[in-house]
Amino acid sequence: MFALVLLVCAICIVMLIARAAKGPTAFDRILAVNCIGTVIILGISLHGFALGRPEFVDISILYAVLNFLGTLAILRFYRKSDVSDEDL
Amino acid sequence: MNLIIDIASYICFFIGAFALITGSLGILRLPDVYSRIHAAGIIDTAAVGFIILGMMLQSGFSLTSAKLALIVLFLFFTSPISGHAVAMMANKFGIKPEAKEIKPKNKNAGDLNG
Amino acid sequence: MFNVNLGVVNMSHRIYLIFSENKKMEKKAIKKTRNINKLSALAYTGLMVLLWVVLSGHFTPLLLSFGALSCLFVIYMAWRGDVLMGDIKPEQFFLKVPFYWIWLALEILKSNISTGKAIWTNNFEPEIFEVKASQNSENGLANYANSITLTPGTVTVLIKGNIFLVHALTAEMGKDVRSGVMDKKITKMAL
Repeated sequence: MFALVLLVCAICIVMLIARAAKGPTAFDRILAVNCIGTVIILGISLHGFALGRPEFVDISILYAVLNFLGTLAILRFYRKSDVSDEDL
Repeated sequence: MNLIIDIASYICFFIGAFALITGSLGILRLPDVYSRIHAAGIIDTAAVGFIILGMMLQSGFSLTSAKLALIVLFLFFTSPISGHAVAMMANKFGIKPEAKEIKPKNKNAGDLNG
Repeated sequence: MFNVNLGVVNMSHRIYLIFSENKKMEKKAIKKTRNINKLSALAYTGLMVLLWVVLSGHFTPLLLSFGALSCLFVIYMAWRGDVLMGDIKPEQFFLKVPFYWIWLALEILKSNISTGKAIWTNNFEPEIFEVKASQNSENGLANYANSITLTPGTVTVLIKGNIFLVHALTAEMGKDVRSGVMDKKITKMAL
């Protein structure tokens, strides 16, 4: 069962990567990458459960913190010059 | 008893996986950034909530459950902040939403653009 | 290359300024700390101890004492740096917020279902509108904006004073926000 949910996670990550590659604006990419992070949090803990080692949950807590901080940092240090004319 | 808990957690996994697919499909399908944030919201609330609820049912009353609850709490606090940050910056950089504007009927609300 | 160098010089100059002004700022900071809510400091300490116990999972006296020491150190630093917010009322928080969270969870479930329906049937008409929040504290406003964004289908795009610019996926959700049920609930909590 864990393996099935992991498979769904993998499919979703592929769909989100498609959006991150295609995304017309840079904000679509940031949003897609943020969502990939959320799915990976689920994936890490599911992987731990599938192997019978629930200690992996600690790593996913750390990943949640880093994901949030990374998104905010990228948005914070964004300037007008970083968005090219084609993007907008 | 064990069987009932297993079935309940499998149902939770099923709902969560369905929400995950719905959210990613929404991110692929919806037309502009502001609409895609709603789809990201589905992943951040329903998918995370149900899949982690399923894992909590599997691990029973233990320290792992507490850690999983901590992840849910943390994500529920931070995901609206990052969603709002993305929307705010998109608005700041002048991306127009493909949306119908609704003017307030009473004059209590001032306009944000002024 | 020149740009990078200039940036580094600028940064080090700023750091130097911070350190040199530190002595003067210290006295002001100590004066400010008098109106701190002691109950909120206690609540923060309790939360940190809980976090330590949950994350470490060891119950030997040595590690527990390390935990207590680091919690006390952090709360001392926060006290001295005047970042403990005095306007949070823990007694209000623990009595009223859990009930609100249960209501919010049900609301999130409902809006998840309708947003999912809109995505699968490809049937949506986004709308953007302004909403006036009736909370008068910053905590209440933050709570309301976060609650709007947390329910899928509505996103707070911009906040100016107590007026929110909200983007909704379908007309039904926009109507829900404009009816102001959530607004009244949060105002009643008086955070």
